[in-house]
Amino acid sequence: MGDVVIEQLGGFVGGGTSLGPLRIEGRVAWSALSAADQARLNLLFTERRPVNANLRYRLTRDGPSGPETIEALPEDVPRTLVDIIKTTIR
Amino acid sequence: MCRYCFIIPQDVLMRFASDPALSTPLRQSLLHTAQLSSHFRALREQNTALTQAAISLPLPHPPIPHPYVLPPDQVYDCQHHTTLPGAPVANPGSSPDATAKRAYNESERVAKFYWDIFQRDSIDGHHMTLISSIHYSVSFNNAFWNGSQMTYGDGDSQVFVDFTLGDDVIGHELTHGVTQHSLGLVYSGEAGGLNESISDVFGSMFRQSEKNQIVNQADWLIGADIMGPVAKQKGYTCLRDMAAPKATHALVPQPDHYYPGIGNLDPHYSSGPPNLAFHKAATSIGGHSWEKAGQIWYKALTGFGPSPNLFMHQFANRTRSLAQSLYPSDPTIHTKVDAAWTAVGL
Repeated sequence: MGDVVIEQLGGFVGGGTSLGPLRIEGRVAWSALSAADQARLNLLFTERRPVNANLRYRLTRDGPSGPETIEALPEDVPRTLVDIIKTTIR
Repeated sequence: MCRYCFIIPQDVLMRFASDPALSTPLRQSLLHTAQLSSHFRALREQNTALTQAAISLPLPHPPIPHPYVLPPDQVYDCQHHTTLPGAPVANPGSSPDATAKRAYNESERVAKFYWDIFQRDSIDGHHMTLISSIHYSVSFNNAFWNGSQMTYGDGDSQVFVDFTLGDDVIGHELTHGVTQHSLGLVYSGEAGGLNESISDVFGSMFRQSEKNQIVNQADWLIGADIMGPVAKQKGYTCLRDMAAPKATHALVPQPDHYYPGIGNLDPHYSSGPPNLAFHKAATSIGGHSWEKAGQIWYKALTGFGPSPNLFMHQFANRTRSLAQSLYPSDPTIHTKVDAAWTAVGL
């Protein structure tokens, strides 16, 4: 498993797409995550539940069959992942 | 047994909870966490379903008191954590914490705006308590409505500043609640773009009403007051520009014309054409944006019950019909609303 990328989507700001200069995202190596956070993420990627919420996070990781992407509610994402997010303007 | 107890497939739950590679405390923690998360998700989904049901059913409601009394307004301090709502702030309207004071006072003013202009009693039309959480997370660059309350970040002081500094931010977020309790639009597809546009429209109207601006005095910028020094230094004056969605001074430049497939964009991008349509309609009609254009948009939002997956052309046609029915003696209103939507490809 390589890196996990987290993008903040929605809310008042929006962002999180290739359009426009704003990026609200972070990246961390899977190996740097705690076992609990890895287990939590494995659960999220397995469930792959659709999300309908004003603010949500998009998570992408390298799965066994290639890149996997899901969306998750704020309360479901490990705090350690949220804390690595940085806002930049390209 | 409650079906929500099995939201997480039993085999998935047991697989992780019985993984010998994980420690016993971790497996137990995971089991508890998964169970709690599933219940939180079930609560959120049930909240949405209950909201939709309440809108559709002819439930009796207590009469609105006269003279009108604003709804209860509560502010909570997340203290830089992410658990909502946080610790209650006593007397937020006079708090030494300027963020708390703004969240309280501006929420109250948005509620007053909805009552004075649209005769709407709070977010749900039935005196719902306004709840705001501040200091969410650390340097959080956003604000959001979570289905029950507003939440505001402090910004990183670089790209964005404290989100309670934007009165349009507060109007925008509260309006997501209004939308949830009326049209019930989802946050994806064309409906998502409409959802975001409606929040920008009413957030902008609220901002204009605070300044008592007529349409040609307003700047029609969204998020102008929360831009941080780094954003400003790079030439960005706002998040979005309702008058010129593609403008390069907007951090989130949007399309200004509808096209099939626009629903595949993030809603903050697909909201460009309906934002521009409201701007065009309001400026063409003149006066204060909430006097006629705002009334039409409000009735289109609240007069028809839930339509979670409404398409943009359907909303546009509603406003065209309402322009005629609300202002039968002034056919120019319909002409201007029609022209506004036609100009953006709807």
